[in-house]
Amino acid sequence: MSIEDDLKKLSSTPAVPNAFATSLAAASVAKASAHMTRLRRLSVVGASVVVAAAAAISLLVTRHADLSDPPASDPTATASQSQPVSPVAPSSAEPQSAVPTQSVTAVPSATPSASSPSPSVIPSDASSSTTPSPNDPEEAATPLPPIVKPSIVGEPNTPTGSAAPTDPGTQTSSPASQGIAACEKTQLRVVYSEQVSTNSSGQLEVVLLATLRNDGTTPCRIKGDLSATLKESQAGTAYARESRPNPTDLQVGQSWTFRVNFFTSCASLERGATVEAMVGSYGPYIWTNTYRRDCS
Amino acid sequence: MPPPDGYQELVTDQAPALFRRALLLSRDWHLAEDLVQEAAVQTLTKWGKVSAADDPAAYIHAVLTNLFLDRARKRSYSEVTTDIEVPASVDPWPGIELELQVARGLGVLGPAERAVVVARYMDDLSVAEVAQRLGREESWVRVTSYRALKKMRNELDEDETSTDAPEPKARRRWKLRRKSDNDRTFRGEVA
Repeated sequence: MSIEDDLKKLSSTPAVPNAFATSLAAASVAKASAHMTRLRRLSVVGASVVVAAAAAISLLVTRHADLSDPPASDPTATASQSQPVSPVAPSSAEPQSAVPTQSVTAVPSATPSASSPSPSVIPSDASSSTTPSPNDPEEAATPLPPIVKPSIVGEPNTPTGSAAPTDPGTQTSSPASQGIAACEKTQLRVVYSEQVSTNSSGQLEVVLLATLRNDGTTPCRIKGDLSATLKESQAGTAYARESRPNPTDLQVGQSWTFRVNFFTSCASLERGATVEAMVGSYGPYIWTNTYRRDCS
Repeated sequence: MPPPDGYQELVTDQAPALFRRALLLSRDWHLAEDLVQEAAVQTLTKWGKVSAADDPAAYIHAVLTNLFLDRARKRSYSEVTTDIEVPASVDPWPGIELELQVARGLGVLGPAERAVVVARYMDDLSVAEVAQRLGREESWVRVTSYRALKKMRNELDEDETSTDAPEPKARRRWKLRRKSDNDRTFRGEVA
């Protein structure tokens, strides 16, 4: 029978739904969903970066505007606001425009603005009231309170605030680890994909993408510690390890995807070498996968 | 994030056919799995377009073919799989022998030739349709198809005329070869 006959025969027989295809479909959907979640997160991060940049720009603009603008209460200031368009026209324009703009920055806005930042700074942190030196008259005279405020608030907050944000590990591990046990084998379902190929520099490259799903009835914890070992290759043994600082908690029905990527020189590989990748639960290793491939 | 409506059904329904196509094209079990997953990811990222298409199934199959050809164009595509190994954890399904047989038979062809042969003779597409799907000229499809078939015939003839060998090469290659359970400590679900 020729290959054409085989092809025709194959085209006339529909692909049979089978257990492998079902698990492959589930893994594919899981991978696609994880990918989209990652994209969403990236877009959220990107959006927040844009928002932060916009906020910074608006701050700069307001600062610039505050520096150049007269107070709104001064009727002459409104006149002088139109002045910057023709600031160099001294002769025909009103000469008093030069006088208010200078006096504006110094006197009238200083009193309300100097009073406004101090209550906003002091209650935020009690200890910070002592650390920042009181504003000098000339500092207070500059109409910068809304701009200076974030930096002032940020500095005294660091000692008290550092406990919360910079110690996420201790925070997450201590309360969360109380009721969460190590994942049992029977709880975890593994769907994965792997790719073994030879890269452009002639090295055997193994990429393993695996998703662990908690199918049990209780939350469990995975040790975030992956390792990949190349076996049966005495010469030029390859060993790759990816460790994660914090263990991962897996709620019921939740998945955790990890990726192992390592490579070794083909020259050091015997034909048919076995590559083994492992992931550890909170206890001993629970899962291994081996590959047997030729390095061509 | 839960997948959109219809997506899971599409992937689940098409998974056997997608894997078959991927296996025929790549002749590599693991690469075929990767191709199916990548096609699923690509389809989800463009789900709006796919769901609006007349035939979403054809779309995902076309994505898979393009992924394979893209991969084959890369310099890193230098792996030569000598035989298609069926993982020990996989239970053979009816028709797997034929799929493997055809996949092995396509081994004499290059990636683009395989794509053409699969599209022409398995999908039963016309030359114009194949040319449109692969983004090539119709003449290229015709020539490639002709050369591919000729190559395969030559290979088969060689196999059948060689009497020295105890068993024809092609037949020998087409045997379903399964790895022993000892080769693989674990695959698939955790016991």
